[in-house]
Amino acid sequence: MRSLFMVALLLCASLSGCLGEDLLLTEDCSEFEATLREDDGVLRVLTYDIASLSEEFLQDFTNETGIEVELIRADDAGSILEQVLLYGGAPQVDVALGLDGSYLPFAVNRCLIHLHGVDLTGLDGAVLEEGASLTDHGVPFDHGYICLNVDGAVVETMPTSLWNLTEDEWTGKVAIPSPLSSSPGRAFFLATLQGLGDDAWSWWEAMLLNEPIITTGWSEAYEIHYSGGYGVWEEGHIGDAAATVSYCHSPGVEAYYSDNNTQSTAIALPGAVYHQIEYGAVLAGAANTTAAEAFLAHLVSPEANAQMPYENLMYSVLEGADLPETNGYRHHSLVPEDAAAALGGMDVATLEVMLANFSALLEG
Amino acid sequence: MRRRRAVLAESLPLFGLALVILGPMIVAVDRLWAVTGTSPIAAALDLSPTGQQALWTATALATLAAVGTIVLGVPVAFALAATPDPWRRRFRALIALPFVCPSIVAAVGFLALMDLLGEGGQRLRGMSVWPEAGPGTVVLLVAMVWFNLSLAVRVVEPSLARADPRYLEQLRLLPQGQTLAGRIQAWWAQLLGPGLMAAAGLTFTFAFTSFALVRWLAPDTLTLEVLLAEQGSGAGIPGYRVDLSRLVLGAAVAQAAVLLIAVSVINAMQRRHAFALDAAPSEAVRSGLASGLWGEAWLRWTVCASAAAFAVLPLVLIGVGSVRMRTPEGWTMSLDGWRRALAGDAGGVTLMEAFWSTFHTAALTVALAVPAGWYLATQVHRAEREGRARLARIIDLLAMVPLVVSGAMVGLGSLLGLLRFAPGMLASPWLLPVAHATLVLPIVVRVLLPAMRQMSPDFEACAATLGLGPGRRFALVRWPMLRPATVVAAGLALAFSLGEFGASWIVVRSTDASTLAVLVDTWLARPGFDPTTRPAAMAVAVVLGTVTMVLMVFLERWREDRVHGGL
Repeated sequence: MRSLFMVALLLCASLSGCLGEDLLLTEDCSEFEATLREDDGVLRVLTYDIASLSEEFLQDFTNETGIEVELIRADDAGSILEQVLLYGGAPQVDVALGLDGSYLPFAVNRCLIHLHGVDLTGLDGAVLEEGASLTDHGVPFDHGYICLNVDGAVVETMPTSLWNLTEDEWTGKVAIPSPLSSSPGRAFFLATLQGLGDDAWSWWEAMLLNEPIITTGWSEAYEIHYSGGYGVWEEGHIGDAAATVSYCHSPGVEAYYSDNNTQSTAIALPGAVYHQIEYGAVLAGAANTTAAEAFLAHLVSPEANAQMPYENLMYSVLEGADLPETNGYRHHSLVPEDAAAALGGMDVATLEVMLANFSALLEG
Repeated sequence: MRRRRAVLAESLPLFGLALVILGPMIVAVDRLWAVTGTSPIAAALDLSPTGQQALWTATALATLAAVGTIVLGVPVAFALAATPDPWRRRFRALIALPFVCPSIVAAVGFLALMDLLGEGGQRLRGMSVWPEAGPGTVVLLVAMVWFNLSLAVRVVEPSLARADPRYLEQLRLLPQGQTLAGRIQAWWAQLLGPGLMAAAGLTFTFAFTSFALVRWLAPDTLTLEVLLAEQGSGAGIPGYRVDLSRLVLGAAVAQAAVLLIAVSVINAMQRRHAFALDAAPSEAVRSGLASGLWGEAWLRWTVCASAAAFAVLPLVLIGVGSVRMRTPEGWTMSLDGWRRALAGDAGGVTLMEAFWSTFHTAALTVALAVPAGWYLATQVHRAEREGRARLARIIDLLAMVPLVVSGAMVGLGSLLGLLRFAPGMLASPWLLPVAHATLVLPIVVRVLLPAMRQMSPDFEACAATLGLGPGRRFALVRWPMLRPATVVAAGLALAFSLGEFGASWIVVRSTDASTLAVLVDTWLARPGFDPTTRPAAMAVAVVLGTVTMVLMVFLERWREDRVHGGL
């Protein structure tokens, strides 16, 4: 038995890396050539569980263009990026839908995204401006702001600074999705880096000493730990957090589904607000780039995109679009004036280092 | 020459299966090794604090679950064995339900139970087994015991129900049988010890690799399986989060090492357990048991009824949860959750689409797993009969590898292997059934092998003497004797595939397929601002739970007095 194990070990050692593909990364995209996916007549879209991609939406698109669509569902934005990176230059899908400004640059940096030709006329100017570095590669299809949400029924004095959250009265009462595994968590992390500047790491050190509830995803933080959201109605709610990281319009969504009732409030603390823009991108090596671009154009068409606040609980990217007033949706939603965006001038390598540093800080 | 060809022909499928079982793991290890520049053993020995914590948490929780399952399972097995029919059959069918209950359904059921308990449930939900384990681990532990209780009963009760009480009577006359301790050592430990150890080993393995239960009942708790499943998708990417790849490599090796030990114990104990069985008329056994403590009807009824209620309650609550919906004023009864699940706006997948996709996958899984399992069990049994114990152990271990290897490693290896050698297969509808068949192989082998061991070789020898060829010997002797075990194996494979979550969760990321288990998770994972979201998840869970439960009741009828010694 032992000899068998040794043989297996030696075999693996000698093979290490041989079974895989060339692991060298391309630095110059002009030298990069993706392997074209074989065109089987079906447009394959890799996305997370975006509700707005309903059967009706897909059917409308197929009726208009004659193109069949197949959805491949990843868990979240991080999983979409990881699949795109893992496929490398041999994509098995045509479109990646749902990468935000903090994830898309990773794929762009590796030459995995095709420059699209979708007409962006009619989309929100501010969104296009903030995402200027990415709009050649990605088509923005929805957006929203990340904020701290606070339970107004529990908290008597609202925090006015992120540093308030490091004080005793907030010990163990703030739920934060991890920047390592959650896109709202990463957005919040980037907001602190961009907003607090040199003080960001001091704040994280102080915050982590104050026993925050770090969760793997947004759902765990908002639904299970946050005491001010719909989670109080759900099975298995714990409710030990009086504040959490969520969207600035989450209280508006709460109100929309509860006849204009909510005890949750969004607050825009300096260094804690991020403008998240989600993109659809055609992958380098896509089987049919024309069909992929038609799909993205359909997604940002006025008829389809106006439904974003209802179906995807995000802002539409159409010029002049706002949240609906119904049931206090707009009334309870905060639109912050200053927000961090994209990578804030940082390159992806630096962000990787920052995430590794955060991981090390978390490990203690 | 002909003999050598025959041996080669018989060995070829073994090599093919070894490739399917081991190939993805080798590809994944190879890639992670190349990306991190760290050998698997070095990665395991240099596990980060997060990995170490996940290893400790998983081991401690699984050990506690194994102990708890045995402590609760033994009295239930005694009470069942002492209960006369038809109630014994009825109770046994109910207690057996959790064994094939899809883990995601169980998770939803326990969430519903916490809700029913109100503030008490919320307090319970926040409790940790130990401070660092994280809130929800007490409920998680109870759910793990709930899941495996029937396993302990399934393994122990047949031994009790068939053990001749006259041995015990005779032992009482001997000096060693004068004291309770002596009787436990000389009789009960011999009779039940191997079975209990095998059940504890299986419980440990299932609890150690539990994913859906941890994900939903103790979401802040990190075990190795959760770490690998949730972080595994980001591993193996050159130049991207190398720390993550190293963590996944080390965690996968650590997990395999722990499970290898557990599986070795299970195999060894199951071999001994098979020989510990003895046959005695049921009535004699029951009268023997009824002469002692278990003769008290109230005790038997209390234990059996409590165990049955414990088994069924979470499942009943899912049904209630599917029609209970919150409103701004409070709770109301509504079918909106069912309507939403049937209309299917969770990524466009309707309940019925997922239902048929699940059945299609499960049917293909059975078609692949049963012949493969039969073949592997036959090879192990033949090697044992020919006295080649080492070969038998190697093939047995090969069959158990899917229990040992993390689903994340299999997923990563399959993805990389297919990308490299057959990218077209990534979207293939066969991908999920192949993954399920590989995972269910150990269970099929564990059911068929004991049945083969109990089959006397004299029957086939006799048939050969009468001039029957291999085909007729199979049709007239081997198949009729192994048919009940095969039906049970096929049923378990079907039930397992219907409710399988972990591998499906990984594999469906590269296909457009969906299963009921994944659909439950999809609904649960959606933001619940809309009050119909959670009832929709419950509705899908009701359908999944009902299908597997009906299958289990059918299987129990087949298993009764036909199949012994296996799962």
